[in-house]
Amino acid sequence: MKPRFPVNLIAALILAPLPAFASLGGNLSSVNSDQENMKAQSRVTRTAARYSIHESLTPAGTTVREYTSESGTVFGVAWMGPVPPDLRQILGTYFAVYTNAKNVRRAGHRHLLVQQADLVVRSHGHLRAFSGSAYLSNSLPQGVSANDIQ
Amino acid sequence: MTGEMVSLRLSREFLAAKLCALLALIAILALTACGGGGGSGGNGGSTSTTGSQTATNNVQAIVVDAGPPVIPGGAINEPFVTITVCAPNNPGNCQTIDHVLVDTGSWGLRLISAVLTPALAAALPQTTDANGNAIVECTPFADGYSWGPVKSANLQISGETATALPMQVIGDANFSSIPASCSSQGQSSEDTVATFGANGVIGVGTFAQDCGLACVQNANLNVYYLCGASSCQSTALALAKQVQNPVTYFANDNNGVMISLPAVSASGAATVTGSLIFGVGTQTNNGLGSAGIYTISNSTGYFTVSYNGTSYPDSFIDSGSNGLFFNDSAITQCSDNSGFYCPTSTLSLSAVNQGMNGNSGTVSFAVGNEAAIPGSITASPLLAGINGDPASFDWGLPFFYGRNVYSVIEGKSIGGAVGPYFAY
Repeated sequence: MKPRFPVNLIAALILAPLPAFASLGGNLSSVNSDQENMKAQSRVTRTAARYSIHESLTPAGTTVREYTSESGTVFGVAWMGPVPPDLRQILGTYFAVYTNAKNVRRAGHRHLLVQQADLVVRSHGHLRAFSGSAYLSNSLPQGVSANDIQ
Repeated sequence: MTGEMVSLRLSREFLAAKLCALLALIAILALTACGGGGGSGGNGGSTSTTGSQTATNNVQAIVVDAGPPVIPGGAINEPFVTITVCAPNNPGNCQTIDHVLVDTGSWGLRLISAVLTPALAAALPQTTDANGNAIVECTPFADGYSWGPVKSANLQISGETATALPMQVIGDANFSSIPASCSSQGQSSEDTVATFGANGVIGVGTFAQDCGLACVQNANLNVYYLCGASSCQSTALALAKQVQNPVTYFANDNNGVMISLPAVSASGAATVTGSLIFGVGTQTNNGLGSAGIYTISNSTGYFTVSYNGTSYPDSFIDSGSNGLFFNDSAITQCSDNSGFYCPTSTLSLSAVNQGMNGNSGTVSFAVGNEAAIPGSITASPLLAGINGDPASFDWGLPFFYGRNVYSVIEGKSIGGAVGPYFAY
């Protein structure tokens, strides 16, 4: 597991234990029930200038990071581990958007890019090592880029 | 070393490999000894003559073409082989299956259920746990998941045989109910030839099992399941019960593979043929020669690529990826949101591979306009796109054109190094 955060962000981080697992597009009030559904262990919450990162570990050993804005909305999620996480849970209402999206052209089983009007999902890897991210392109806080979600 | 010298060396190696393959074929036809001097494990074929032995035919033809006709739009840069599968308990109950994808990025044989004859499908024994529960797998991919039982089959490919090989039958009607914990892992079910993109896949990469220790130690991965009469439950599973890399089941030539594909011009090709050669340094046709060895992580299979001043530690060499997948925001993406690159003119680029063993070497490559590749082209060295992992550079099939690429399985020693490693 190789944590990859922008260096300037690391300097601004404050670590604090907090339960976390909301769904993309949802808010922090759903954290407790979502965490229960995933049976995930909350590890740390990091706070940056314009957003917070809630990191959890699923029972399968996959690390999930959820990015919340100052108003508490989950605008991005990212994962890394031996298997993909429960995408139905972490994408929330956007899981249906994801599964209904038509893939433009087959790129094999190792990569997937879904770009809808609002939702962007990038998925990568093979058994033993998966990673990916999803974000709401219209809800990124000012100054936050897609590359910050990983 | 200049680029010209590199390509000259590779070209000579390729010709030598083709010559050896031809000699091996002649040797088998003539039932005369040939491969005895090539290495430690090349002998022991099923046919022998007095006082000498005949090397096993270890060369399987590869074709890069449009794939099975049902694939929407046709395949591009996908290497296929034809295999024979037999029932372990009835050697006469066999089926020849074409268009099985050769994949150095996965491990194990998987076949689409609909491709199998009813007679063979019924004769492949279901693998079970000690209590008789069926072992069923949810194989996750980046773009979906494949659900189906783990069965036992005899595989014949070139002159090699894997007996009682645990493999997956995808989309088996006897296991039609996919658990939510499986379907939550991916975008879509890939259980037909059209959705899977091939009649099956033969994973011949650098690991001996598809999941490995993680599935031994953790019952919560949602990869292997035990299915009773009414429901399926995620389970831990011993290594020996997991879907196996078929190469490790061969009597000889079982330490890895060599893939040999010719160079493909920038304009592409409608069909390309090459060779999947079993074993590394086991016969006269699969020696490492002067190939550079790049060892990789024994947990993830990754090594490091440096490109444009950035280090990508999640990188790998993968015949199952149909393009070169890496991130460069300066390259124009195609307007169809496919994630492929569409530069206005072909770009000449380079990257540096660095193995865990410290060996490094520069690789030159080119990126072209995906939208400009005609539909009749099934092999293009210029196909490239973005990578979903910002730390990854994926050397897909374009990397294989004009090279001999060796993949050595974990724990196997050859050429002064221990697998898992790639060499080229």
